[in-house]
Amino acid sequence: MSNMTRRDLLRLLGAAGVASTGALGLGRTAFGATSAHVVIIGGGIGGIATAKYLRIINDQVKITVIEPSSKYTFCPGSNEVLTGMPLSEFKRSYDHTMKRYDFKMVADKVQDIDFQAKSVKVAGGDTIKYDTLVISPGPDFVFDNIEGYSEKLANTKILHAWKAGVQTTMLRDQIAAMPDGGSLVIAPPGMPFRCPPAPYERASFVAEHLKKQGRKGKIIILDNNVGFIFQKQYMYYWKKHYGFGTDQAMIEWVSGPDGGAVTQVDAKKMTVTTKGGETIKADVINIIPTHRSNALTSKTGLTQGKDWVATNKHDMTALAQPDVYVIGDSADFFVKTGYLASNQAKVVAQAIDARLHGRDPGQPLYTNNCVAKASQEDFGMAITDSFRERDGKLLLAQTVQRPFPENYENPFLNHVRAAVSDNWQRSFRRDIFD
Amino acid sequence: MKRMVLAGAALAIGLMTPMVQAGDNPFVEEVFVHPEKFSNDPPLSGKMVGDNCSACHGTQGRIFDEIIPPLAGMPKATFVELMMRFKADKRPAIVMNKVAREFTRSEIERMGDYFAGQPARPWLETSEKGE
Amino acid sequence: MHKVLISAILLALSAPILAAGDAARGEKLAAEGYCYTCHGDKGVAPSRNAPSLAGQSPSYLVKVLKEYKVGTLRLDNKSLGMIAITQPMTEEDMADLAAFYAAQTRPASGAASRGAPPASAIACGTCHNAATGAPGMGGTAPGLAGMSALYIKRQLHAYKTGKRSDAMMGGMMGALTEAQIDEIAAYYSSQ
Repeated sequence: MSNMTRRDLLRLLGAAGVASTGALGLGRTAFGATSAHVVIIGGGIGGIATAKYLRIINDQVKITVIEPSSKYTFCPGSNEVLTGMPLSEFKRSYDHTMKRYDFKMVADKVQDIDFQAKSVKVAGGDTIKYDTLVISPGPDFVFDNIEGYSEKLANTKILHAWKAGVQTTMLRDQIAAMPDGGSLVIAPPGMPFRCPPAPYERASFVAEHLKKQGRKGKIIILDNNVGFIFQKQYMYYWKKHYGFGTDQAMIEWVSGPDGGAVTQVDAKKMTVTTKGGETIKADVINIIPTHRSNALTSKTGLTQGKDWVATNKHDMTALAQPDVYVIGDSADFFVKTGYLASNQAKVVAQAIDARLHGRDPGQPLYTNNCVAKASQEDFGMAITDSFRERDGKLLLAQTVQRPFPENYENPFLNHVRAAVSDNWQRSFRRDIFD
Repeated sequence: MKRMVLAGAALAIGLMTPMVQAGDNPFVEEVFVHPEKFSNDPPLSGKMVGDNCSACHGTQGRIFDEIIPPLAGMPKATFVELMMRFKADKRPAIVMNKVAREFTRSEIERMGDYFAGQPARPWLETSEKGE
Repeated sequence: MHKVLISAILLALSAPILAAGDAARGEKLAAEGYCYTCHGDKGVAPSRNAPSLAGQSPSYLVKVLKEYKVGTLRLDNKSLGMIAITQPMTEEDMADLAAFYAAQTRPASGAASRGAPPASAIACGTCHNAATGAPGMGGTAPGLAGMSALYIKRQLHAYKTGKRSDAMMGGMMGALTEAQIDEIAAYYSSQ
């Protein structure tokens, strides 16, 4: 591995060999045979953040991102599309980011990885060799643990809208077409799943939306879980605005212990059956599938038969393949969010660069300071969640959810917290793609 | 649930928090481990800590046109003073009290160095949105 | 000059006559709303992000709060924080907050310590008391004390592009160049 500096390269190639300075003030180096090739599987938040943050500290590596989609749609914050925000707010093209951070993209899907030969095989037939591999493919969904459910059904009628894109607008349209007095079932899977407060935020937004439109309706959350993030805050808000807990409630929640888990769906009759034995008919059924580590990781032996890829938290390398980095929802963090994926990406960037310079990776920090809302404007929430590392394992440094009960009735803070929540979504998108 | 209770008990008698493994119940109300407890671990660089702030404050703290204030180019003394006041709950804020209390003064100073060293200019332009 | 004076006098005469707000109640509201986070404990802003409010014209403060509440004042996403926090405010809340901040000690104006103004900044002094940074023209021209150069520049840009509308300021800004805006902001800023 070369320890050549830019100055060395310039001397070797002459100024003409280096392209004009890009926006970052980094010259495009004429990649010699000695530049390490970093291949990143997945062009989502984890993958793009890795490319960006690695490029910021290292202008020598070659970076290739393998991603089948030609565009990216941000999932965080996309619940707002269901109640009117245009999906275009969340879409990003890769062109601009690729140019700025000088990485290539291969529009293909990875089929297999040969860890010995250090190469990746894509569906189109090509083999891509790497010096360093980062895997951030996003989760896969399980469709066979609910009777009557299938991937085909999930793409057409019983939508999840849990990977933002066409399903989000389809679900929006289903909700818009609900009859007055109609019902929506939201069925969160057992934890862990990406963005823990999102199913409850979804319910809350739809209730507000219906109420604003003067429509009657019911949102029934049929849950696998014993509780949820921001449960206290949501229930406060739902009691105050939607009669939660009364017969006239617009929002109902059946917990896992109370038999809420959906075990069966009948798409023709539009019913779901729960573990508790209830059969509920609904106009819109939103099943959020159980999550698993991406099929690529299990296929290539990285999961070692477990649900997620076990990683060394010092640098996010896979225990099964210690020189391969695995981040995002497929890695073994119990909390799964876009923000965490981006902070894992920064740890990986630090580690890759350190190793290329013959140094040990520095100490990591994993922050998940995230937001959610109970309504468009008047009630926002925030969570502060941090992990440190020792001996390759995570240490929970803090977790705290706000607002606290003493501030539930403070309209100024609640409004500002909602505005801050919106701000967070915008600035997060900029942090990844800009 | 059991592990959560153990964690609480461990904290109460001042022992180290147990290692968090995949599978722990995440619905804990509140957990806080004083940052001094991590003092014997290798230090976090100012960049590693500061870069964890980017979702709110922008890449390298360089978003200037949003509600949440930028940090880039903030004089170190100002940054450290604000963070220490947040940490001490002397200055109630929307989120910063709980965020600041995670760090030791030394870590806050390193973060302060990092942000003071960033140019007080926006992190490039916003990207285009595609349809 | 004549035209400016007449306009100024007309504006001063048309300034709304406010019932004096309750500064003590305003202090409580400011604490409840965490206003000091951006505007400082005693209305002197700690960073570039927001203006100081200490010793500001109360009628100007109320005017701005109203503009935020109805959403007509929206320069960029930064304004969304103020738009959000004014939603629950009543007219009484606004008058009380304004009274509180008006009663705080005005910080020194940057202009006072900078000697003679550059040519571009001379006209500003007609309405915006350069020496003290106090509000002028019966309170319709806000005081400029305690503002960062970044903040002043933002407002001048906003008036120039029409994102912020005001009959007086819009007219004044038309001819100013970027360099002149920088000069004015540097001259009046306190930080």
